Amino acid sequence: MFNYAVKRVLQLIPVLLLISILVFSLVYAIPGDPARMLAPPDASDEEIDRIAERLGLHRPLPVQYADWFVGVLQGDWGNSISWGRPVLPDLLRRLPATLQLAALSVLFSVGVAIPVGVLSATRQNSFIDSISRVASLLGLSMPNFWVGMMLILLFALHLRLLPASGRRGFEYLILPAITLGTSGMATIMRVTRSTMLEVIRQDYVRTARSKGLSERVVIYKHTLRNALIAVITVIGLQMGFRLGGTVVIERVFAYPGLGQLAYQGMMHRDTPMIMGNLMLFATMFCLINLVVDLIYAFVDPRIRYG
Amino acid sequence: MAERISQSDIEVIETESVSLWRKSFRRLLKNRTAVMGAILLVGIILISIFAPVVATHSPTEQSLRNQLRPPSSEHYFGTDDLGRDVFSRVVHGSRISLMVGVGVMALRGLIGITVGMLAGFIGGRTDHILMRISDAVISFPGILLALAIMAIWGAGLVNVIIALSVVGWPQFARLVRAEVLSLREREYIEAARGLGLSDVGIMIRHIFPNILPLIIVYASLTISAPIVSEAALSFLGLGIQPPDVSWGRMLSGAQRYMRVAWWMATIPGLAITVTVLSFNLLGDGLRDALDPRMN
Amino acid sequence: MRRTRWFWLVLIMSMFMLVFVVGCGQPADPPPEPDEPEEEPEEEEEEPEEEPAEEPTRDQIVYIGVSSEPHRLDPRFGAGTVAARNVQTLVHDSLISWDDDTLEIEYVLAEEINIPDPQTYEVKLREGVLFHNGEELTTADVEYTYNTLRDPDAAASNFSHYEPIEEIEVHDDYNLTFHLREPNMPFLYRLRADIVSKSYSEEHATDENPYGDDYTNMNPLGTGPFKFVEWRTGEEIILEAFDDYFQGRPKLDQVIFRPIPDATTRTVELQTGEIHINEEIDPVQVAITEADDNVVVSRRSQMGFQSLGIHVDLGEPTDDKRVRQAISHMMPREDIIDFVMHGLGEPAYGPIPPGHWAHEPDVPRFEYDPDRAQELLDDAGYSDGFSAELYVIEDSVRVQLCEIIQEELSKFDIDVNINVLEGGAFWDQMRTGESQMFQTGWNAVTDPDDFMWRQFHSSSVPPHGANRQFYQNPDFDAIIEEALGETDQERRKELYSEAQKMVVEDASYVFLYHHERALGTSPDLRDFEYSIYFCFRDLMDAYLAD
Repeated sequence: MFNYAVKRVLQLIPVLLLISILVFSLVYAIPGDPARMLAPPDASDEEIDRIAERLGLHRPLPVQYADWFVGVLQGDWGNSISWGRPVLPDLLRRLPATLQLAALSVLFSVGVAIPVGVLSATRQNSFIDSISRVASLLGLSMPNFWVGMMLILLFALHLRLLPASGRRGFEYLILPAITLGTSGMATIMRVTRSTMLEVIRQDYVRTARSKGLSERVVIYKHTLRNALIAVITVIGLQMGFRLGGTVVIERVFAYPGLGQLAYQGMMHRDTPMIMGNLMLFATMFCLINLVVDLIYAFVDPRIRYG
Repeated sequence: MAERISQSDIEVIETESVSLWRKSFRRLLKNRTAVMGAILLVGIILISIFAPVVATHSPTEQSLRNQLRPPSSEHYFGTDDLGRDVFSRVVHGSRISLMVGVGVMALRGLIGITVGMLAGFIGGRTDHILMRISDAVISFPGILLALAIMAIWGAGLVNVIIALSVVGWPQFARLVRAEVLSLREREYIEAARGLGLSDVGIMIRHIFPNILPLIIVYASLTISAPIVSEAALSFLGLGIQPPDVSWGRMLSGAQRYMRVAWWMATIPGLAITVTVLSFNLLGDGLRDALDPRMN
Repeated sequence: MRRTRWFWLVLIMSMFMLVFVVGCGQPADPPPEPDEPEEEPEEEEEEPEEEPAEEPTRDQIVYIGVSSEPHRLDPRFGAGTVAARNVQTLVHDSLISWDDDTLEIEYVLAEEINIPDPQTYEVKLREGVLFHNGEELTTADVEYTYNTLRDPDAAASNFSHYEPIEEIEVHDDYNLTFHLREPNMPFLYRLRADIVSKSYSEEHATDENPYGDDYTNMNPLGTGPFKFVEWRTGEEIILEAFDDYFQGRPKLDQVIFRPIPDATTRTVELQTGEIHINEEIDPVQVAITEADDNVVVSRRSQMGFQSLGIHVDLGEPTDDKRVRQAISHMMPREDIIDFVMHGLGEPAYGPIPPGHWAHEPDVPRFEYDPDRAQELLDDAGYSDGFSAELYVIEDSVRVQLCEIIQEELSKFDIDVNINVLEGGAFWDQMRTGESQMFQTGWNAVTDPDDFMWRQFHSSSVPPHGANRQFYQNPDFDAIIEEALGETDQERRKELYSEAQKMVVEDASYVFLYHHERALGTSPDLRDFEYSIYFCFRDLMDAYLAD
């Protein structure tokens, strides 16, 4: 287990390096003038020249990259153009809000999707199965800003049960988390259902059943455990999608997380802010998947040597 | 001599695979949900091809004085904020929405299959590098990376397709690679190699046909994602440009009117749902038909 | 087949339900009254130090929902955006202020202002005004503030406003004189710059950051009715009543700004009582909101205009005045007001809004007239139309407007390609000075020179100013140069009337409408009126009724 963990962590290093190269080339290596992209919108030509000079944009790209990357490692992620102050502290201040939202949305997705998926697998083609399949289709096809808006109108305006925006307590997280969880829920439901079905047909389950174990025990002890492994993988892979969803959802719910910061960065062409957001989101994704893989290894000892 | 034998060898495999396809097709036809999905899909495609005939109005013609009219016999799905006919816009919007879906899947497939096959077949260092690159790309939240690309390159249909393709190919590559890995050691591949077929030849003539079913299933199950993502890009202001009309653009434009004109959001929303539904039903059916092992 | 029947049944039912649920949220049925009394915002949890609940009157805390969050709160650097002005006008005071409707000057920090000639502005400061840190305001602070503003290296907001200052002469702690390079009448309005504390700014200045704004942008300090307490970015900006305010402590204890970017969410928050003020109600939602008894909707002219700019120096065909006039004749201004702005505004035929002293009603009116438009196009030799590029900043109303322009022009075979750009990219594009058509607007006009010079004077072409249409007319230049230093108000008005006729006739701008802002407030909020120029400043006299 320990060796596997070390190996997994070491694997992360080239990926993070590649991520930083991608982020860097997005701004510096594509056609266009990086100095102009790094300057405030109303900057004069002289100002842009000064910026190019200061950043050493005439140097070869690999040198510029190395310089930039060393800065990133030392915590110098550049100064935001619109806020006029370092990017990193602002990003880190917003990080917990987004993580909370993502975590709660995972809980919501899993909490709904696994029971429904199990029910629908054990009662294949029943009424419940149909409901779950329809729900997962709807979840896949409804854009989340639309879902969020409907929830606000229903729960905040008409029923007055939950607040529509902000982050001043747990109840403020509910609607955004449900919105964010809806689309992810669909896939988890699908995966639970199909892996359960697959496992149910397998030999050892049949053996267990023939040994006279009750249906319920068979389902929960054997099949569910296997389905969980698949679900954990899916959750890890969905994380990118989920974190991306915060860009839209945080805007609808005026939720003070990274997603809004990312969106504001885009709208103001705040390049250091965009780069910082991409770096942070990608790193978060890698770390979350590292954790997922470790959990995975823990749950399913077979893959430790994989 | 060797040439002749390999030729017949391949023919055997090909006839086998042809009959496999035929068998799968027959299985698919027996699956009513899948057939229903296929019919729906054909319907949607026909609508998009014959959009000018199906539509009752011009999709872009405005009539401000007729804005926000609820559904009626004149405007089946009502009118939007600028008095345009929502029915005609949904019909015409199918073109760009399908184009986004198909275009993105094609580009993702092109990159993903190439990378996946190379990684799986060549293995070793190439595999390692290619997989780390796709790990890196997969790490970015799709929408965010697409947004960043759009912010830098500008909005518009082509850029939407490129941006959404850039973010989705690694999943394709991983899938293909895993399948290639399991195929690589099969006997007939070994045989083909023994007969002196080049790597590229083997990949194109033997590996590709074998992973095709998997690709078809995966593509049909995920083709709806770009259609929905386009809506999110449009919501954030960096999607399709007017006067082009797509379901995503209609939805995002309807967002301000959600409280005064429900049809503006619901109709394109339902159009997306039905399209997703048809692709998914067909995809499920294809999976059952092509690969009975799955599910 | 039983297995599929369920599936289809559920599917179809849920689609119907979807339509039904959505359909229910419509105003066709009146908005439901909440049974319970309006909910108090949850200040108790937030502010444990607040007075206990036995206190007879309710907590005097006002929540304001704003559409965007400011970036820089120091008024020297962040005065360019409404988002920052919202906060600055409460935390800071300026030498003067003025009445929204009459533009009549009122003294705030100034006790007296004398203008012996339009090149010399003598200011006498009020005595005993305290900053939030307890220090007294003196001329040193005023001098320091204006010196930052006019320092070309400081990159302060509205640099061009303060560039005319030649020298600031300080006589003593309460008297100073601004000496200008040239006679400049609009300079009186420049005395509204918010004053910052010299000692406070210098305390936080470093070699790299000589104005200390890295700190003061996050922690502003002024003499205003409310002092800055805390800024939780993305969440709220908290201001608190300043006990020693020189005009008396405000009745409100706290003012809290909450950035809520989505217009629908913001309106819902106002309707449910979570906020007391909605800075701006989406025109689409004004009617629904007005029907709600929990909301008072008020409208205020933005004292500006929205327009379509046309480059006059980018070759054919827009270099032809007739083509530009034809485009002006194609604009369905009344319909735009009715169906896009939903009544929030009035058609514009010139730059200066009605109600402003310099408004000239007697300009050439290029009203909606397709026949006349076709005639002009025929005259100019473009009967078969042409194609054009139109640039617009990402914003739903603006894009809507451009879609209408696109459609109207297409009726004359003019093929318009709309380029929707996000903020940064849009201003980049504007700075290139090569945008054939663009949609921009202007708000809060004070002195006519403000935008006349910046948008039409030939010295203001990019990158120096906002003359992105490259309008160059020596006669016009001469008129506004004369008007700049003209002391006789009647003569000034005549000159600007002349200038307005010229810019309208030359149609480098197609004026579309003078817009209004709809503001929503809670009925409990009393004695408050929003100001186009000074935002929420009136909150210093407002209170929440029981």
